[in-house]
Amino acid sequence: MVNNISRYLKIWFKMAGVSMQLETEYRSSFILEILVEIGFFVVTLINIAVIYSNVPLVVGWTKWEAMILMGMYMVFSEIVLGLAFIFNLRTLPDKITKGDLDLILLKPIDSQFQVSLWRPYFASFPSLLSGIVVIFVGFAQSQIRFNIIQFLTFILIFLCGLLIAYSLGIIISSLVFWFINADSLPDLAEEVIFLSGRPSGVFPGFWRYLFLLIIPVIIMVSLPVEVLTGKQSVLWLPFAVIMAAIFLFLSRRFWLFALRHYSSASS
Amino acid sequence: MSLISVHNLQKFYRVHQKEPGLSGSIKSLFHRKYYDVKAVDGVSFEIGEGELVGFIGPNGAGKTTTLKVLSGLLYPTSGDISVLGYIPWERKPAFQKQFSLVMGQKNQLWWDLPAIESFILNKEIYEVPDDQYKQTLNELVSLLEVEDILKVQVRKLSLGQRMKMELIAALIHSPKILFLDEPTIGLDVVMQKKMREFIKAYNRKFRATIILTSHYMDDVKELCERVIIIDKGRLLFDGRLDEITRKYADHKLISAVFSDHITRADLAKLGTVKEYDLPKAVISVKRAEAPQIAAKLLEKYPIEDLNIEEPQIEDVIREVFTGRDLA
Repeated sequence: MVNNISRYLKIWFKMAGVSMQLETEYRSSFILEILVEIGFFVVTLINIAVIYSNVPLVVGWTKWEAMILMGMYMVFSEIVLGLAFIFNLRTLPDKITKGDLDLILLKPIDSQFQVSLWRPYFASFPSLLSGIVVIFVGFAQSQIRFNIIQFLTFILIFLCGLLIAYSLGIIISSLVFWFINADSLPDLAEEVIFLSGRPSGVFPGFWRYLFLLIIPVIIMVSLPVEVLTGKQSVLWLPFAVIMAAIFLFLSRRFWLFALRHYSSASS
Repeated sequence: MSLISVHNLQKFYRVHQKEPGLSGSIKSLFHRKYYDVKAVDGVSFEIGEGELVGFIGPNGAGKTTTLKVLSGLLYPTSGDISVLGYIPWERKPAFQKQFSLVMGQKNQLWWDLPAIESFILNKEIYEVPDDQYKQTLNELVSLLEVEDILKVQVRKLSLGQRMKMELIAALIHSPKILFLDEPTIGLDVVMQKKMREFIKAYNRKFRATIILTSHYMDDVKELCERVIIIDKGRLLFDGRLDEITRKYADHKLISAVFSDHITRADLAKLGTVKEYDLPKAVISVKRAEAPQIAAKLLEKYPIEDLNIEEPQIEDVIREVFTGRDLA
């Protein structure tokens, strides 16, 4: 087990090196990617400024609290996109139609690892950093303080959220095995994960249960931030851990099921 | 002992039928008629260690499907298959480390990086020890004569150079079994020949078991003592290459150079005229009658040169596939 993890980490770092070389191979496009990411960041900030210039509170969040949430969402989505989507799950439909998935299945290394965590994307790193800056500004301006228990709970729930987002990505993207040419399925998965940027209060009644239990986007960003800012109790932690375990398990089973279908039906 | 054992392999695909036009498309959304395509239908064979076997058949014969089942990419519909003692489609890493599948039309190398980067990555994936990696790489590099292009980006290599690099990437873990699906496709004649020499040398040197599919008869003729012919998912022939001629060609070719005019009609009385381009002509005759007919020709007509030949293996195989009578 430990051996296996260190082997996969070693391969991942090799791939990170390869990915870095590939991204910088075309220098102008690398710089362009970074500029695009910065553009997104600026648009997001303007968005917050515009909303809060009209109202002081949105579903109970002040402007600076909303900035913390937004910064956290930037960090979260950049991690998910950079690690699992941009060079990985997004290319799954293409790999299936071109038959490159066969090359993956031949390798003595886990196929889910190869399609979902193979090649990290580095140009999203600046956005991640700017997300952290936004979080710091939010905390500095809002005077909100947290204790060590809140902080550790926040970290753990945030990690659970990452695992859930990853699992949803696997499940939704794997549907592509049944729908040839459904190139947009990974995009759909991303759109679902992007819902996590909203404060949980925007989902009333039925929607709250849907986005807490079935498509648990609330656990990804809103819940950990609410715990960190004292809006929710640290006792949410076991719930988040159980949900992450369930989704990780389901996504693994679904991936293997989808592969079985692929190997029976493809030619 | 056989390394690969295939017993009664069947692989069917379910496909749905669609009526033409838009109305057909809409109808097929709600109600679909399915039927089975029999890609492989009851194929059996055994392959022993160190064999180099040619796998031939027209497009859609089931060659690639069979290779994909053997390498664990496809679940068969039915049949008992064992490769190196493993059930291929369980895709156990211990099994996957012992074979390689090279598909002429697919590449695993990183396009924008030098090939050496892909080799290093494969070394990690296949857990090849450092010493063994260095030794294997050196051997392959000198066999294929690619020392000077290891550090050139793959996109800047020619197709032939790229194929050599693909082979190194596929062989860096010293597989016991090598499946080659159309390895010479698209290569020029010189490069095809080099590739063949390499495959032969690799087979001898490392006692690797190799199954090769190819459209080029030359590949098979030069490399494989044994061939397996499949068509429409069924096994037509399994044996030595030269046996094909004996089994399927019940005729021989008599080619003659005439020093005087002879009409096509006269030749047609003796056998089927295959070529009529005076002074040269070729007729096809029943195997057993070849000597008598040749004697008759020599007796009746002025002839400068006469040969009795076995038909070309390509022709025999083509005739087998089209199911036509040869004589």
